[in-house]
Amino acid sequence: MRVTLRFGRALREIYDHLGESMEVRLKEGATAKEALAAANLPEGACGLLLTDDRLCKIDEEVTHGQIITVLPPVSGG
Amino acid sequence: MGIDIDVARCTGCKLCQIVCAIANFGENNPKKAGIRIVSRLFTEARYDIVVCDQCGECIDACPSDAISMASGVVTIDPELCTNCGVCIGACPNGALFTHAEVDHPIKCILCGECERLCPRGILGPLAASDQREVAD
Amino acid sequence: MYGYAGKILRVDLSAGKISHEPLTEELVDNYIGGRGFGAYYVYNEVPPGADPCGPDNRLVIASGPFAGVFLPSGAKTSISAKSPATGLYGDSNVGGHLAGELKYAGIDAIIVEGRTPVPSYLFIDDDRVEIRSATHLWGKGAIKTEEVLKEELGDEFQIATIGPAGENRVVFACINHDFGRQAGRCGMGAVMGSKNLKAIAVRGTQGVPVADMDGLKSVATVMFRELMQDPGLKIWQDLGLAQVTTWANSIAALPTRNFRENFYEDVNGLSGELMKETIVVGDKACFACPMATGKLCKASFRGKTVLVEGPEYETTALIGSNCALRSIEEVAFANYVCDELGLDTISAGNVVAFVMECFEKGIITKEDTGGIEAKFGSLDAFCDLAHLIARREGIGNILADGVAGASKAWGEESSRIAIHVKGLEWSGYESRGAPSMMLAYMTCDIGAHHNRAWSVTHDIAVGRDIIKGKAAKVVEFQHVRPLFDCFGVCRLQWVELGLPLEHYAKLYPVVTGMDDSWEDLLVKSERIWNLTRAFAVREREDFGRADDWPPARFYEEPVPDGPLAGFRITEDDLNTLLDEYYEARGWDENGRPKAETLIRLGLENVASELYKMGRIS
Repeated sequence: MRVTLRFGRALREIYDHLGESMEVRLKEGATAKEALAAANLPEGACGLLLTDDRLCKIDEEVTHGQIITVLPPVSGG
Repeated sequence: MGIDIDVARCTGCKLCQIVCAIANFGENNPKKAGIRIVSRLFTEARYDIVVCDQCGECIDACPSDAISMASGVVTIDPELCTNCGVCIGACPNGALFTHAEVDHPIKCILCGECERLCPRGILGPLAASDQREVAD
Repeated sequence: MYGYAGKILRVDLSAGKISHEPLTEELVDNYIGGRGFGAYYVYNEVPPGADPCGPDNRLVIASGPFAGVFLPSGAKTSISAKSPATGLYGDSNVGGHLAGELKYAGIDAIIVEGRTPVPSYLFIDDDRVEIRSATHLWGKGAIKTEEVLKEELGDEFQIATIGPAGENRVVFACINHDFGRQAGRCGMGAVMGSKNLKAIAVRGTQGVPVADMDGLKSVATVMFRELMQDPGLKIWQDLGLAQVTTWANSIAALPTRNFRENFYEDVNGLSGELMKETIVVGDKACFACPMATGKLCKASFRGKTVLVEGPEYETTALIGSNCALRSIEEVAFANYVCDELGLDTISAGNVVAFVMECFEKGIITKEDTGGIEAKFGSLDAFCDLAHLIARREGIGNILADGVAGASKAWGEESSRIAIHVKGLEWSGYESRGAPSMMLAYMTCDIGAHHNRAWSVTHDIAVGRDIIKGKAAKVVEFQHVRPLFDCFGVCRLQWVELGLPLEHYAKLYPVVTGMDDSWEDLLVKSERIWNLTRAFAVREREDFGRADDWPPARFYEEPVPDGPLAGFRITEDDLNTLLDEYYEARGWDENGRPKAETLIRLGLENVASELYKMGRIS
């Protein structure tokens, strides 16, 4: 299946290889965490995930065609 | 009818005040705005938005016939206004403001600029938006 | 001069004298504003060896060119002085609506010196400036004081206050503003209290002239539009900074039980999501900010229900997990207690956690605490200790000098677990597994604070066990991030939502009319960084590398549990980080700026002064 990841701008500043979005191929039953790994993001790189205007948990199963917005961790000012 | 406000969602950022002053006076000066955000934090955990609702009560109060309504918008003619302040006392909402550098009261003329940038989208839609577009 | 009001207000409280001085182009050109002005006046006007709580210290309250102007969140006021916590240069900034109001009142900065014989507050209404009696306010809470003054003067006045902690010169007393925003760090509230200055109230009606209004409108509109279309904005409006708590825990950086651990098993009770569900009653923003990170919360404890702004992440980390509290409502209540007393929540959380660990280890007993059962997880103990600290009563008199002061009283074993650098308690990121962040804390000019460089994501991106090559990133951040404190604008729109720096580079010329490039501005930031370092070198003959060293806990104890269990950073690692850092900065191996570095940055007079004193070569 395919999942689209959209990356927050502050995240793209840290990881040069990221564009505005990326489509990743995953096995059925894969989680958001595996989607991030497929985009070559190390653990802890991402602060919050959003999908359909709600928070998406890192261990949540994703589905074909899902769009996930990946935001960087906040940096406390 | 003036600006339709969802007051409970106001965050008190006062962006509307500075936008208003920029649009109408070309100045970074929120004290020259036709809108005021008033803190009610200490007692009620919220903000009040004070702005003219174009009710027109000031029109009759004005001794100089300087205030009139056209297309639902109440405006003050600075040429006729003597800055006597009677309208300020007559306003049921306290929505006419004074500034030492401006020789007439300042009020909302429904220009719509604050609505365009309000981060919460709570200043609008403007009831008189049709007229506003004609005016543009 | 565009972007500035053009005047400095000087208030000599001893003489009761108020004067206006012109803002000079030289000052603007070299130091920009905000923290830059603070560094300039503190270096040039506070005599070496001055008591931070004596009349010779200066309290500099400075706005910057972007404050009060039509652009995202020109809301920041920098407050600087010689810090009673560190004995070195200190500053802290606060959002809300004060920075713009100062400029609308026609002043870019206030310099407060001396001490009034009676409790007073400073009243500023455009050009009318008075030192007024505050005897009716003395002893009142910081928020209560603001409420009373707002009732007396009107809502249009923007007000900064101190609580009892500031009056009693607690070295981590903060300055409060706009209900629940604080200039929290470095004990600026104690400096204000030592001057018998309870509050500052300011109202202005003047505009801020800018060089190119059309240019400003076009850049600012683009910035606002980009922010409002950002996919992350809604989360910010919903959760504010509280969203970071569970993330910090997941990457093993959440201070837990006095930084012994960095992973908190009860983190779900402290999460931003739970906070929104259970205690948030409203959102609150600083001037012209779409993010609205302020969360108004209701919290109950001991039969009392309070309204408080916060807790944000730092408070949740230092008072929550670091004192092992179990619910966000408990943290919110503790936040209220600190706000009203006028205590910095970051330092207060550190101090109480330090007491709790010393109590657990038997370094102190109930005899020392005056009967308080100072156990991890006890909100009762937190509240009782906070009140004692603010009044300097009993154990509170020792704790009012911070963990550095208390550990001097309680001996070597306690100093290993006193979590501070230079005397300032550590903020919310445990950094054994983030070497660049560790270096950022070690070298931050005001002590262990994260605001100058926050580089945890850099450690995650390039490797958490990598030491070499990390200093450059820290130096880079230490120049970029403080620029925002000079401009008088908030950083969050850039660091959190990724608003490009290019926008800020474009704003500078349209606001000020000056043609500085971004690189020029970074040089100014580096100049300021070296000036605050020079202040330390001038202040203390023995100032140097040892002052950039973290507490022993961090290199003696490996991470005990959680995702990074067993992870450690060694003294060799720390030395490598410092060596690289000093080299990158043009400082000697003891961390003192070389004369050539100061001269390169236009600080010839400083170089010559320190050279004559034999402090640099």
